[in-house]
Amino acid sequence: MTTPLKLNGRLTIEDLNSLPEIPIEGITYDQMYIEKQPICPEYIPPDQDIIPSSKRTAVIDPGRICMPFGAMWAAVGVHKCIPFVQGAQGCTTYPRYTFSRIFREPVSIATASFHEDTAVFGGRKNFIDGLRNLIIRYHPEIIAIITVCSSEIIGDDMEGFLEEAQEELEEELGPEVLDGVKFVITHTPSFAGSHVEGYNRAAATFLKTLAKRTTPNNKVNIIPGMITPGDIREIKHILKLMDIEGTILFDISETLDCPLRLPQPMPYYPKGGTRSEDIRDMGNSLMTFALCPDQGGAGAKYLEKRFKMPAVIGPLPLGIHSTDLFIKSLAEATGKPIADEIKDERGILIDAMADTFHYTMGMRVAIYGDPDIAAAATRFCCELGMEPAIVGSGTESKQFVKDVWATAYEYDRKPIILNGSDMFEWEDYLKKDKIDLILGNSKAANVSKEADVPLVRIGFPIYDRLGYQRRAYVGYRGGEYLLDLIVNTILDSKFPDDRVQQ
Amino acid sequence: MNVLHCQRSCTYISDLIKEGFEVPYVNASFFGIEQTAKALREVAEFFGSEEMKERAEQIIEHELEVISPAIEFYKERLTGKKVGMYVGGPRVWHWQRVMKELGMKVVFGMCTFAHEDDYEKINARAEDGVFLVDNPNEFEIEECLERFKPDLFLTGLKEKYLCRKFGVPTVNSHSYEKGPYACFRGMVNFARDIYEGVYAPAWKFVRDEDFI
Repeated sequence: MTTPLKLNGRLTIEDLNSLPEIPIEGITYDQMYIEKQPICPEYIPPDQDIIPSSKRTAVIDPGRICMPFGAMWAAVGVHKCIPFVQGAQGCTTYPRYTFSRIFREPVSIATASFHEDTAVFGGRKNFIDGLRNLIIRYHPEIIAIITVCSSEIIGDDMEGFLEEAQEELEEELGPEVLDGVKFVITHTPSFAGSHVEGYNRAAATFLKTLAKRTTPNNKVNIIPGMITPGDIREIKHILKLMDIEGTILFDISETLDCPLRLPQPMPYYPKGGTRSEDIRDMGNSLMTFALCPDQGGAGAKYLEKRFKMPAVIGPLPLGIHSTDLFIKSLAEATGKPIADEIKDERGILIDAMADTFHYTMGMRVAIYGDPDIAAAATRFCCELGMEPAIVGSGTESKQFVKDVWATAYEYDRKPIILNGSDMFEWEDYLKKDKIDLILGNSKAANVSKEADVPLVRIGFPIYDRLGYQRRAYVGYRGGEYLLDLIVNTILDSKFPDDRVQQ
Repeated sequence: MNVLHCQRSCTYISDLIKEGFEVPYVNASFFGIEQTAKALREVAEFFGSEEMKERAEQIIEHELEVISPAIEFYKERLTGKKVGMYVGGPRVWHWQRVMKELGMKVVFGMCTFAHEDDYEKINARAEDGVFLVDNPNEFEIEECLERFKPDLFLTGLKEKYLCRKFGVPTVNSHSYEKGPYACFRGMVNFARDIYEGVYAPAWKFVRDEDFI
């Protein structure tokens, strides 16, 4: 009997059901034909009245997620630190799923497992029971207590609960067990902000709780924001070339991109992450750099206020100009000269820009992402001679608007800026415009397909491709990688095959 | 008749065709506004038809109308820029006129395959002080870049990367960057690619004192 084949060799459901025998290779997605019926026969543009997000109470296709997620991201970057989420199980399930999708790494997050009764009686009992389990089973060095909407709404007194729990557990487990654990409370009610603000608040609470001033250490503090492990490695690389010692607060480079080597410790902890003693020592540093103003700026401001430590808040060192600023501030703060290797790396990026500007210049780009990254990408696009046409951020930020306008003014561009808007609005602008390229995260992938505008992936989150989390976008070498992505995407989409060989 | 655009490689065969078959030819350049218009007029003139002459004028008028706003845009931004050229042979004198139409000033020219007649034409079209090199090597190119500091160098792929290393933009003058450069509409592509070269933001970073 011949195999019934249809539609370019692909099998319909009927074909599958009538197969006498399934081949040993099985039947993969690419061999199956799954008929999809469009919901409506043609694209119907939405009612123009509902396009501006400011006119709607509902958010459609949000470009942000919840505030506790940002605080969890921060806590995951600390060595032997486990976030304890004072909320329902879903408040940890989704973040853990998101971490795994982006990084393909295990992430341990504890939960107070709120149920209906917790909402009535409060989360005190679940909190103390949860901490006990966590300490006995996982021996963490730091527990990052993170609240969510529900615990904030019912008014859980976390500071009071923690005091009670410490007393109770000290009696039960002994002071030496409890002395080995530090607690950091971060309040993150999602109705007051997004993941961006969650990270920002965690930067402040970790420093408030742990940083002390004793003797100067000649180091610099770096609060990177929600950038990739590859980015953080690039920052370390720059510090090394400049012969500067630095502490990176929330160093996910060795907690969310780890080698597989046996044997592994039990319970599993990545060997990296910012050490608690290093966070303590951050009170003694020369200067703090918060690379993303909205993600970590609060930490730098706290140190500035508390220890009179100079703070440089933003811009994210992506592209030439912003990286120049970062390097110059580093040199100024430490008195070290700009290393020759750094000048070479800069030169290599400029060389690549000089080699490729005929591909990039004049391209109209739509950008969407977290405010700091979207603003940084806007500047880099301008440096490549591209024209940012629509720049959107999922989280509202004054700094974002300021930065984008400054860039637009400098390069004589007139982008439409969507501050704290959703992707529904951004998408509408994109479809009405003539856009050559999208710079955005994986959430822009559907729009990219539908509008047939190629997408260069950057920012948070990227969950539909492999390896982006290992790459750096920051620094001169990161700019090189991003430039390659942009130019190759343009070559794929804008140039006929016989015109790409030079 | 034959219409000759590349007057280096095509003249020999055109002469033979003319001798053997009595088919005449006209020389024409399809680069730039003035030269393309001239080519159309001369072809029409050759056939002597009033209809054809009228048609040529119509085409010229219409095409000028179509490209003028774009050409004005680029001319305004390119006027006064200095340009060096290193192309095969005839293209240098083809393009001397084109550069003038964009308000640019040719400061030096180089050819690999030019013969005496090419240099005669180049000289006839050149302003005083234009420096010419026959069959240059890389060192001579570097020296010219250093000495004349052009804002743009029109050259091919092999010299592109050398020149850009010295901070001088280039436009691929053999196979072009984006789109054809010939005739009226191609002139806009040419002007655009020149403009992008001269104004690419990369150049302003190159000379930052702190990173030299």
